[in-house]
Amino acid sequence: MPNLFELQTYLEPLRLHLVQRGLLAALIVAILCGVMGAFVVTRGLAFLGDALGHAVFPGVVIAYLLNFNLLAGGLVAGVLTTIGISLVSRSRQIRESTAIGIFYTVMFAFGALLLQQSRSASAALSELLIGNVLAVRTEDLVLTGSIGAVVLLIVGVMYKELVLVSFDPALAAALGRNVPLTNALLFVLLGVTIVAALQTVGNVLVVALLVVPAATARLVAKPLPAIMGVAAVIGALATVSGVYISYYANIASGGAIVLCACLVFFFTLLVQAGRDRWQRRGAQ
Amino acid sequence: MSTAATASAPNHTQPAVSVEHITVAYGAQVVIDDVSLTLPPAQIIGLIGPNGAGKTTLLKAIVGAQRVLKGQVRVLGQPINAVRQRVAYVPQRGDVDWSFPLSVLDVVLMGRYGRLGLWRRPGSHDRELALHALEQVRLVKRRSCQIGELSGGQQQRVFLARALVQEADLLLLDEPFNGIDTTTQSVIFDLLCAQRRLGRTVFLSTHDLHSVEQNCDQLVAFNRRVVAFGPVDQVFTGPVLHSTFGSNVAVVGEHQTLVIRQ
Amino acid sequence: MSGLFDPATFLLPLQQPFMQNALVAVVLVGLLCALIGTFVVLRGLAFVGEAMRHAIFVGVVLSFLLGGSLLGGALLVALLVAWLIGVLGRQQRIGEDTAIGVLFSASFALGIVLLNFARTGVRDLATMLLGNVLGIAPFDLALTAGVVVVALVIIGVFFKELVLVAFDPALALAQGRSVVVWDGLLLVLLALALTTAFQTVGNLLVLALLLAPATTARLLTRRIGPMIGVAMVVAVSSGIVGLYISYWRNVPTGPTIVLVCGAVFGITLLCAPEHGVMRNVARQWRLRRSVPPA
Repeated sequence: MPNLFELQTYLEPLRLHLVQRGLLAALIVAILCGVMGAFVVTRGLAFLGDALGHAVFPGVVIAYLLNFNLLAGGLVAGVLTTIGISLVSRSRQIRESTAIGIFYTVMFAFGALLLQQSRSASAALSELLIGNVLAVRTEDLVLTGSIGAVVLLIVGVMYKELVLVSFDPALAAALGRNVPLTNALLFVLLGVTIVAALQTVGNVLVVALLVVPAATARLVAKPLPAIMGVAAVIGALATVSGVYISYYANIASGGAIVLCACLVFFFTLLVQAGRDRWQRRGAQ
Repeated sequence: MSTAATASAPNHTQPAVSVEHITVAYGAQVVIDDVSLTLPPAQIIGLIGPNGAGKTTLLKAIVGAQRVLKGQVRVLGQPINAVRQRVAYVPQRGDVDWSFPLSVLDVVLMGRYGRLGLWRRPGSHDRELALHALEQVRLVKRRSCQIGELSGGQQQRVFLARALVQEADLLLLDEPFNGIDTTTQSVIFDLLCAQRRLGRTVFLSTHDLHSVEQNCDQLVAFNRRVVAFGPVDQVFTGPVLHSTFGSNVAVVGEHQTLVIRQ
Repeated sequence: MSGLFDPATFLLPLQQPFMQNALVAVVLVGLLCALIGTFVVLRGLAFVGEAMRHAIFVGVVLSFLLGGSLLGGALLVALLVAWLIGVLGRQQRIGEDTAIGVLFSASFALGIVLLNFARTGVRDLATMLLGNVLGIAPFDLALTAGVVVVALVIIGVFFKELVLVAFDPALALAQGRSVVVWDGLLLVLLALALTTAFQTVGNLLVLALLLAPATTARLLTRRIGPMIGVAMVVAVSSGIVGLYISYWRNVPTGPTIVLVCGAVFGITLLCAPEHGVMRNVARQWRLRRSVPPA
């Protein structure tokens, strides 16, 4: 057990380049997920995020087998899935959540079958499923960084449109905005975020980084920009502590990061619930 | 309109509903604030108020589908659990998924489930009653349709038929006139008047003031608390409507009311 | 592969005991998933199922570490998570969608961290996620059969309650039926199905077997009884077809079954006589033609 009150404890891992790179990549992902997570939580897109995390899988596998860029492959699969889900859930008989559930499992099954074609792929599979911060290479870091910058830039420029379409689609349509196109943009941004986060937290836990910090932020903040900010901070804190914990305890980094975020969430929730009860008693 | 009580009327000395000092809150937000209300039997009583006034919550609190933080609710003189068979509740039409794979007859039979209890299944007697109710709402020909094939007004009539087969002494209807045509509205009111002649009580919520003005005996003006309660002509006045609906209502002339909702 | 019209093509594989077991397993799990999937689809519990299957993952790892029964542990944790979803989802500032997201994130992360401590045993994450029906044990088969019978009896007896609560919870409450109890029963059945199907199609893919056949049936039927029947036919036949394909082509069974299910769903979505995409497009086209241009 390392001494928690010694500066050395915190500096030592940072001497390693792989920790530096991993931490930096994870921080970028956490901030990105905080911003996009605000949309996910306020619009109830958690299941879509979860499904996208799985559905990018066949794309990644195909890219892996063809020796192509993994992120690009994942992105294509993610976009295709989003389009498919929105088309299928236009049927009155099929709920959106059902469409999501069917789509992502089928996509994932497809990916799993493809992966079976290559012998060396089993290790790659578990890497993609649970992620590994410490395996981030310099070029991955550059790619994650540029993706993050582009996504944040687009959200910044299109902020007004995205918010309008998210919370009052009827008004947006009346104002002549193209609602389906703007929604599609939001989903593509979500897909990009998820693909960028694949390597650090793995595709099963991406949705956690999207949902948990933003849900915590929503408990304490009301306006959307504030939720984004608080979520990014919580995500970053969880990431840093998660990386240190995984370094010292030698456990999967993705799991550690997510568990840290969850701890913050449940702590905030308890404090809030206590306060609510207190206020109600005061009111009576 | 006066109320004509018949010989077969249920116990007339009891109020149909009596609510004493109830408070309902979601989280820290109070939606019904210390409300007391006593509804007389064998009348059609309208519950009016703007969107978000807590009308649905009040109805749900009466049927025991909403937990009450404080206060007491008695229905037909007893706690709701003792008289559930005698109370029919019609939720808002928009609350259910009409693409659900059920036939019109299936939905009406649900009204009998309360009496059937846990172990019995609907039998031929229940089926007869359901068909009779469908006849009353003029939908017997469409009994085998999937419910999504009906128009909005027909769906509302299916819900009404489902309430009728319960043979209840108290009918609670949540926004039965939302988005339906005037023909359906008058069909529904005729049936409700027939219920009143049998000595049954009808309590219905709406934010459409024109329909209740002509057809109800009494009105409850409601916005988180009871603003006014009494015969229609006493409640249907400018000051009462104004303090119920706030600035969303403009009163023109003596009995002409124009409601502007957002 | 020999001719498809030669009975030996289908009978020969069945001479091997593991194929016999797998066939029985696939049929049983298909029946179970179709039956419970119908209510999952009607009640809109897809995401809850997603969360529960993550919880089952944690339950399996935990009971492995603590040395208890895997199935028991999985069930217990799944039900705990279902209960927490109910509690958290009712908080207005969280909402059900987010509550589910948070809970399954937490449970899966916990599972992965715990997996670290179980290096020697549940090492093969891929098997756990994708299933291995060819390795199913006779005891597991008997257990699955038991679960199918239990589910059939419960749904048979409480059919009207389950339908009422799924269609109109407000009326159910007004009739004095506890929505929590009946939803709870449905969640227990769901947890049972998820846990049982774990071994056939794997944790990751079981959701497809719950949702795809039932949704396919929903596109083809107008009442719940026939919907359950059609869902069963779709699930069982996809299972059998998938099993044979995986045997002949030597590919993993779970994903193959899911892909067959998905294909059946896709074809139905396009061609269903009443709600199919092609029918709708044709209808709109005819409508457009019948309206004279302005």
